[in-house]
Parts: sequence; C-alpha cells; structure tokens
Amino acid sequence: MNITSLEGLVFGVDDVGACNEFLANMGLDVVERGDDGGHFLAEDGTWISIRPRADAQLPAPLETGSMLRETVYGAADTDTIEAVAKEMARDREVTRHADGSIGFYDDLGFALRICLATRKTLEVPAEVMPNIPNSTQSRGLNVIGVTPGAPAARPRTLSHVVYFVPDVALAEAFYTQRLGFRCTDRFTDVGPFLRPAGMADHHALFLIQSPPHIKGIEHFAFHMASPSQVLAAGTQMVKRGFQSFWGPGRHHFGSNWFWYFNCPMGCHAEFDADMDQHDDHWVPRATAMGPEASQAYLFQFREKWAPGGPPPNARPAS
Amino acid sequence: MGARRSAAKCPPGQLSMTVLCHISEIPVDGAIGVEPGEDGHDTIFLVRRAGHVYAYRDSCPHWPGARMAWRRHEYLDADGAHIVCHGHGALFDIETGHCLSGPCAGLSLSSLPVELTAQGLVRLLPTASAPLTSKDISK
Repeated sequence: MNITSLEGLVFGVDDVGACNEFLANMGLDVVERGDDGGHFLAEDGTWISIRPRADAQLPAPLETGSMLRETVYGAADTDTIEAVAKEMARDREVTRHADGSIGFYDDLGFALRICLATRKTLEVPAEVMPNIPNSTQSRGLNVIGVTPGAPAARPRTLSHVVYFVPDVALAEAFYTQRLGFRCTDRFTDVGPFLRPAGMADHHALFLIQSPPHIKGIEHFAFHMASPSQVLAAGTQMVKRGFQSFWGPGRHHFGSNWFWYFNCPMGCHAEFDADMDQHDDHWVPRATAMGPEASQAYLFQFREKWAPGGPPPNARPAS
Repeated sequence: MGARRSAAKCPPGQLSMTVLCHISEIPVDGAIGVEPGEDGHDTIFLVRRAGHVYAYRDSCPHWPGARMAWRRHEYLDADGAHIVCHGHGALFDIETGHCLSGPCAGLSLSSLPVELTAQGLVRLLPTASAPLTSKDISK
C-alpha cells in the first residue's frame, strides 16, 4: 500500500468563524473563508477544511461528537487506490468519489479517504541551515539567521494526526494489516506511532488508548521548516492571544520540536519541526509514557525583556 | 487584542480580597480571563450571567493545569450557553462548573469565591482554607 502523504483533515464544527480565525492565524493560506466553512493550505498543498457540523455532505460523525469528520491520505498512483479499494471491499462499503478518491470507515468508525497525493516538493530557504562550527555545513557567508521584519513563519506541510481510540490493538491492526502502516515506536499501555509505508516521517498517525466517550481527535500538527520557525510561529500565536497548551519543547520519540495550542475544533493544534525519518530497517522502541519519555526538554513562553543599563540605584556620573 | 485586563498586582500570599476587575470589563453574558498573580498568563476566568459573576481556575479537570480557552477570554461556546475547554471540547455548566460532557464528564471546575461590591468591583474572597497564593491559583 504505497500511501505517501497525509493530505488533509475535514472538520465539522460548531463555530465556523472561530475555526477559520484560528487556522488563518496559524499562517496557512486562506483559499476559502466564509459562514459556510473554510479551506486552508500549507505551503505544499496539504490542507484543512472547516464545515458546519450539520453539513450533510460530510461523512458520518463519531458517536462522541468529535469534530474531526474525515482523514485524507494521498496515494502514489491509481493502482494504490484500487488496491486499497479492493482490500476494503472485502468487509466494508467503499464510496467512490467523482475525483477518483475512495472513502470508507476504519474499524473504530473514523472516516478515511484515499486520493492521489498532491504534495509538492518545496525548496528550503537558506536561512534554515544552521552554521555548524568546523564543518562544511553552513548557510553561507553573509546569510543572516534572524532578519527583522521577515515574512511570518508558515506551515510547510500537514505532519500528523492523533486519535483517542477505545481499542488501540484493534486500531493498530487495521492500519498495519489492512493499510500497510508501519509502527515506528510505542508508548506501552498508550499506543503506537505509525507511518504509512510510503512516508518516511516518524509518524503520520499516533493512537492513544482512551475511554470510549472521548474517541476522536486529540491533535493535529503542521511541520514547520525548522525549530526556529516553530518558535516564531508559536510566539506570534501567543502575541495574538491564542492559548498555549504545551511547549515549546522537543519530543523524544520522533525528535520533533513542538508547540501545542488550544484550538476551537475541540482539539490541540501543533507546530512541529525536524521529525526523524525512518525506513523498514528501523526497529521500534517501546517505553512507558511520562514526562521524561515525552520530551527531551520543555520551555515556557515569557514576554520579551532586555537586560542592560545601570542598576536602579546608580548615581549619575558627576 | 485589547489591553491586558490584569488584576491589581499584590504580593504572593495576599491574593485574597484581590480586585480582579470591574464588572463593566466582563461582557454581558460573556467571560474574561484575569491574572491575579504574576504567572504571565491568565489563571482565573470570570463568567457574567444574569447579574452574577462566577469565577473558576483556568484549569481543566481532565488534565489539571491545562488551560481552557482557545484565545484569550474565549471560554464559552459560540452561543454562550456553556463553558468549554477547547483542549478536547468538554462542556461545563456556567453556574456550577460541573462537566456535562467530554473527557472529564462528572468532574467539576475549581470554583473560587468572589463578591461584587457596590462599586462594581469583582473581588476574590478568602477561601475557607489558607489564603490563595499565586502558585495555588496556577494549579
């Protein structure tokens, strides 16, 4: 199953205006924004769509009321789509859409769609490269790392989605055995980090064993170009009044830098960067989840200040 | 965002009787966050409803310490009927702080006693236990 991207997420929400406002402030391109919904793109074309909860065109909701209504993956070619359609048709209904994509539900009731991958390759701007001492690795002479007034940090691509699931074994079996996902690492008694076989990212999907009444999305994440861009994007969110939930920091599993925010889609929204990449030679690790295992380090935002000047009791020079 | 609606600053350990805001700063049937300590972010939110002001710690009982608004002062749902933790969409009764649905269904927000003075000031009252400290409010 050559699934090569996490393409998009569709939400059916209670407050369209708030959700549109939030996503526009994440730095996504606004393709559509109105009372009926919104459509927002990362730089490589991956996306999030907002629709009213009652929109009859959306797939059936989870019984818990989670606002995530569809997770869309990209396939390398139509052969992959047909292979998935054939596999799914063994035991469930497959809906064929006019654009050639297919829709179905996983074993927990999450709606999925497989379409042709549309992710674009992006050039990396020079300033992303750090200057590493005594190394050929550098961004070049006279290339400035911090440019006042530089364009705001923008999400590069949709990174991953995380589900609360009531039966993590059932869910993991579906994604690994039926859709060819690979487990990269695991928090014991919590769940696996999974990547589609055609993706190198440490995870496009993470599953969390949870009580049935909270089945749904825990968070989604966009990859930024660099750790610095995670800090820049998060700082901008804080300055605009958005509420930090966790971060900035750096995870152990996946090694990605993170900064999470509360989001009006009833989940968390994460900026991340510099996630590990793997192939099938990788041997999954397992550890218990906890503060030490969850992050290499964790910081907290504070307002800017500047040390300097004389002490408050200094006498003027005579 | 408008000017920060910080409560009057006072030394840690003396937060009881702290003036949190003036009633006119809370939108009718709305909510605001306030920062009585020096935590760098709001730690209490106030909801104005039918002449009453309800005060709760900005901490979701699902994951204590997790803040609840999606944007500063955005603690209610779109029609102002319930308090929402936007972390995972839990709904709470405005008057009791009881969680009606979501991960922490059956649990309650941590309420704080406040009084509305004749001058329209919203003041944090001493609790039955030890006076609140900045650290206490952050829980």
